[in-house]
Amino acid sequence: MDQPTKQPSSRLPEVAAPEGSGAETPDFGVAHPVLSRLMEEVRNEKRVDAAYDRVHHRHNRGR
Amino acid sequence: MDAGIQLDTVLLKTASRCNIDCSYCYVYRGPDTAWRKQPKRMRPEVLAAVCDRLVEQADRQRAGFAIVLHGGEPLLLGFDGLASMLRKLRSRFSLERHPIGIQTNGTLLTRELLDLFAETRTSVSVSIDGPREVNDIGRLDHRGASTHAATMRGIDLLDSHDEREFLFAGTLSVIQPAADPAIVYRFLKDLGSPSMDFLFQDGNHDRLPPGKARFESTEYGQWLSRVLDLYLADPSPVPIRVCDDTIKLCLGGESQKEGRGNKPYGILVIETDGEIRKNDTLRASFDGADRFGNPWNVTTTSLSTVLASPEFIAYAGMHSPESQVCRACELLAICGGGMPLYRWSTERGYDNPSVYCHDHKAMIRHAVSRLDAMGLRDALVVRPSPDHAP
Ligand code: SF4
Repeated sequence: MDQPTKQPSSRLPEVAAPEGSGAETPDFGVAHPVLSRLMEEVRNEKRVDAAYDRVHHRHNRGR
Repeated sequence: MDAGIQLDTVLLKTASRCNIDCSYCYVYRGPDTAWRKQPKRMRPEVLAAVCDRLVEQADRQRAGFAIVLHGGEPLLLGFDGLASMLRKLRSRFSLERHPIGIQTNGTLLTRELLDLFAETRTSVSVSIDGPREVNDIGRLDHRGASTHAATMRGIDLLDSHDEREFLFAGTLSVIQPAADPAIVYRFLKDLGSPSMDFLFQDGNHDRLPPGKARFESTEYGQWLSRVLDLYLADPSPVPIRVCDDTIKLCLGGESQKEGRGNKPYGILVIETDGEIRKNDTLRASFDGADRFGNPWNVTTTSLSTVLASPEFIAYAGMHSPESQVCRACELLAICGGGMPLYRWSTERGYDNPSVYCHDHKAMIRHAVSRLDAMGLRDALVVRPSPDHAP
């Protein structure tokens, strides 16, 4: 419990290229392939009119 | 239209046995023995009742739900049973609102079955832990022989099918902490898996998970942190569910699956005899942990009756941890206390942090520091820790 949880920013920044993100991350020169997609999903989830339907992502369940 | 908790996922145990014998299986190697009394396969009258109950539930709730054929090994139901069930379900349910999927070990896949799945728009997720030497740690058959070649044959069939793009949903792998995550990652990528997910092995405070030395150790957290690094470094990544959920929750988004985040999930399991049960992973805690007090069965009871019951509401509420340690934890919104089965101890029931608490902390802290280093500090819901450099 070292630090308090803060509220998420209501606006996500435009996707950052992975600059300075660790030795293993190459310079993609464009938006980051993982983060672009996930930040877009988060933006959509935050839209007031968004009815995010999580059922489409649940195939990978169980063993 | 019903208010309250809606159904997110229904798991249909089309077969209650498995043709292989994984060492970590929570169904057949855990403390629960109820499967011995279950019919081996879902009978036609139960299949019909399941379809009717699902149609009835779909009319009663606003949101769609996922239908997952599960087992045991669901393909043991056989072609005729699967064809009758899937054709009936797909004739009543649209692909958009009610995805149908199968979680299989892949060893029984045939061209004929894949044609059926293509026809009924049923996607296939295959369980495989990595290359043969990794897969053989846990996934052996009843005679102790490797199942890797048989699973690979199934994946090859899937991969070469004309409808591969739709059919192959992804791979599901149980973490073997002794294995090199880079080798597992590369293997799954080379396999052409369109999405991956990684699961923790079963364990709790009475029985530590395999490969975990003690409660405070972080073998699984380090393993997943390494996967996260490989994922973020990959110029052509495929989605990895556990990484995506962690990253999105760190950025204030939502998770897609139970075990991360603080949203409740409406999950029901239907056994081969039609009995309606809670999430079957609870079986790993103690014998009967996934049973409702009422012997509800699809032949006599609607799913909405179960979903509205105090017992279901109490079960769905288990996603939120009882433990004061978790409730005071700064990572609770992301970790969610992990899946309930990992919190169990005979002494305190589910009133414990996850046995993987330190693993969750290690992976989440690692994700936070990676996202911070990528310029996303202002979007993070948790502050990066100065003593956790990426
Ligand atoms: S399991 Fe551990 S990391 Fe997760 S919420 Fe509980 S105390 Fe926090």
